This record gives sequence, C-alpha cells and structure tokens, in this order.
Amino acid sequence: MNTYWKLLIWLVAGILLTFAAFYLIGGKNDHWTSLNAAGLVTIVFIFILLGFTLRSPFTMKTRVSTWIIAILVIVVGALGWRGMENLSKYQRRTLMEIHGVIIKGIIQSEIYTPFQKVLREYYGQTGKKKETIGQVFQRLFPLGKVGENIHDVHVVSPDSDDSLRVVVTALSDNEIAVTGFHCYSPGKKKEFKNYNGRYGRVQAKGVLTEKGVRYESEN
Amino acid sequence: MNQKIDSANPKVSEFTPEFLRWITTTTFGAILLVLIPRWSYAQTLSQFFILPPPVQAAGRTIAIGLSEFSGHTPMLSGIELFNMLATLIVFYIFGPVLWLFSWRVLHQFKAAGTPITKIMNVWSILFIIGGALTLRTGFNEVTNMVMNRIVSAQLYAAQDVQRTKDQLIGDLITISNEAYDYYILPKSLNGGNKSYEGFCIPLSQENNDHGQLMIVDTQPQKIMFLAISSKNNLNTILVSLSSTGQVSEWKFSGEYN
Repeated sequence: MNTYWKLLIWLVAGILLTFAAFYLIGGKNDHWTSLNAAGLVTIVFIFILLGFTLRSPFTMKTRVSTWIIAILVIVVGALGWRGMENLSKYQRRTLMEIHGVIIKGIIQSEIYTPFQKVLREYYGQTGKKKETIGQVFQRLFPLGKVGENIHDVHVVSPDSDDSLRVVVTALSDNEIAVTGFHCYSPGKKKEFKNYNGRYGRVQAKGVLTEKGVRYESEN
Repeated sequence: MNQKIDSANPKVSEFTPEFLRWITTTTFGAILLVLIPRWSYAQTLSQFFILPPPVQAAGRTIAIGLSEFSGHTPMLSGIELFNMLATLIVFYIFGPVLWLFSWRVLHQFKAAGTPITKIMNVWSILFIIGGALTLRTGFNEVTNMVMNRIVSAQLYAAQDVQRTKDQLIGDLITISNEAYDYYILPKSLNGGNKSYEGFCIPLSQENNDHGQLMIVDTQPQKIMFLAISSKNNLNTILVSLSSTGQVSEWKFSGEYN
C-alpha cells in the first residue's frame, strides 16, 4: 500500500475514534466527560502509533528514548489536564458556596430587620392601650399577610422577580412566623424540600414572639 | 539543502539532513508557540481554537459557574464543544501522526540509502509541520502542568482564608442580631432593657470550626465583638453594634486585611 494512503488511514482512524469517543460518551452539558473520553482514546491511539512507527530501522536507543520522552509528556499532560479539570470544578463549586453564604446572610437580615423593628416598636409603646405583636406587625407591614412575600416590599414591588422570598407563614396576635428561601442558591442538603416545593435551596425560618426573635437556618 | 552537494560530497555540509529537519521543526515549533497565540489573541475565534482543550473546557466550567451564580441555566453551545474537539484532533492526533509517520518514512529512506528526491522533500515538510504541532503540544502540556500546580496551591490557600473570613462574618452578624434582640427585650424577659450590659455570647456560639467569638467591650449603647480564626489567630475581625442595631466599624487584621 502507498505510504501516503497509510498516513491517511492513520489520520482518519485517529479523527474518527476521537470524534466517536467525544460525542458518544458524555452528555451535552457535561463537556468534561466527553473531553476526558476523547483524551483517553487519544492516549491509547498515540501509544499504538508509537508502537507502529518506532520499529526497525530505528535503533533501540532511538526507540527507548522516544518512548521515554513520549510517556513523560503524556503523564505530565494527563496530570495538567486533571489538574485543570479539578481546579475549574472547584472554582465553580466555590462560586455557588459564596452565593450560599451571601444569601444566608441576606435572609437572616431580611428576617431580623422587620422583626426587630416590630419588637422595638412593641416595647416602645407608652400609652395605656397597647397593640399586640401581630397588630404592630400589620401596622408596619400592611402587605404582610399569610402567604405574602415581605422581602423588600418597601423597596421593590411585591411582584418583583427577585429570587429571594421571605413569606409570612403564620400571623396571630402573639406570634409571627416567616420563612425565607432562595429560588436557586443551593443549601446544605439536596433532599431538603423548600417552602416553594423545590429541593435543596437555602432556607431559614424566623418566629417573632414577645420573647424575641427565634431564628433557625433550615438548609 | 543542496541535494547535489549533499549526495556528491557529504563533508561540505556539517549537518545531516535529519539534523537539519529537527532544527527546522524546532524553529517552526518555537514560531508557532510565540507568534500564533499572540496573533490569535486579536481574534476571539482563533484564540479559542488555539487554547489547549483542557484550558478551553476549564474556561467553560468557570463560565457555567458564573451563569449559575446569576441564576441562569448554563448551556454549552455545539460550536464550543466542536472547538474543543477540533483543537484536540489538530494538536493531539494530526501533529503526532504526521510527525511520527514522516519521521519513520524519512528514516527508512535514509536506512535504504535512497537519494533525496521530491517525495522525500514532501515528507520533510510533513515532518516539520507535524513536529512543530507536536512540539507545541508538548510544551503546552508541561507549562500547563507547572502553572496549574502553582495556581492551584495559591487559589486553595486564598480560598481557605476567604471561606473562614466569610463564615466568621456570618457568625458576627448572627451574634449581633441576638445581641440587639437582648437590647430591645425588657429585664423581665432576660433582656437588657435598652442596654447591652449583661449580654453574654451563648457557650454553643463561642467556639466553632471557623473560630472563636468574644465580647471585647460592652457599654449600654454599644457592644464590640471580636472574631478570631481557628486556623490563624492573627486573622481577626472586630465589629461594633450600635443602639439602633447597626453593625459597623468593621476592622480586619492579618490575612483578612
């Protein structure tokens, strides 16, 4: 067979094998699986290619030294490749961790701020006729009905598409309960069911009574 | 290369044709390494194509992370996937196949004592192209690995510091909220009745994995908290809580500064 044809066959075989590994293994949104599969096939292909090309008339010295250099470069390359994958995935994870920390802080603030405003107002009453905790809350937050989102109602409209929600879950004269959750920021447990029916998002609960604020991070 | 001189009188040339081919390959490889990336940086598509596949994939992973951070559902385009595959094929398949194959053919010609012909020149060109691509890939692999090790170590260390800092800030905000609750509540409900005096950090919150919390100053209308990192006690955060519940005067020291 003509040498050019042999070269062409090697090229086509390499391209097809890599192509197949890349597109058949791994999902559309998991590019690392596809790339790793194609990378592994490429390594195997290069080893076979080395075995095929580094035969006689090459001297043993040339063969051995080329094999050693090739193996070293492949090992170093594989380490760098894996390192790049781990580092980028770590950075992706860290971004969401940072998001979670920020959101938890905001939820805590969004629960404490209105509750402490109510509590301060409640204990600041001087007249004979005193309002209950629930009445103070309703006076200060007229939109704060059960099932309503009170997050930043004084800044943005209640119909805002903000991903953070602080929903009133219970309202009586002596107790107000709210649940704060985020629409996409992941919490600690993936299996945790959020107030809005989704799973694994950041959520916290706050209860206001005469005794103060009881805050609990649920996920 | 002068064919007539080479074949008629080898002593005229100091270098063998194979050595010259290696030198040419190395030169072209160096040109590819230095010039093409610079030229390509001016053009987004070329830049993307010229980056090694794991670097492209890492870039996409971080871009996906940023999309998730903004609440968007990340999608990888077919062109981006194809770019990764195309770069892999050009540098990891095309380069080594051309280089090793042409090297073998040229070596066979040499071993057989075949005189230099046009065909051999074609194989020489293929050898140079394949060698340059392979050399560039090999160089990229080594530099990537070295850079990756350095960047990873620095990033993990910096992230570790930032993580404990964020956690301590969270702890300080929590304790500040509880302190302000105490400030508002009347004495009959174990509160401070509009004073921070008498407030204590609950034992369960004094120490945790991130560090230690303590009160450094208590006045009726102001309280100051100090958080010390459990990993390095020089890393501290000092904060003040006013009578309006305002957390302010954040002071960071050590690596938190």
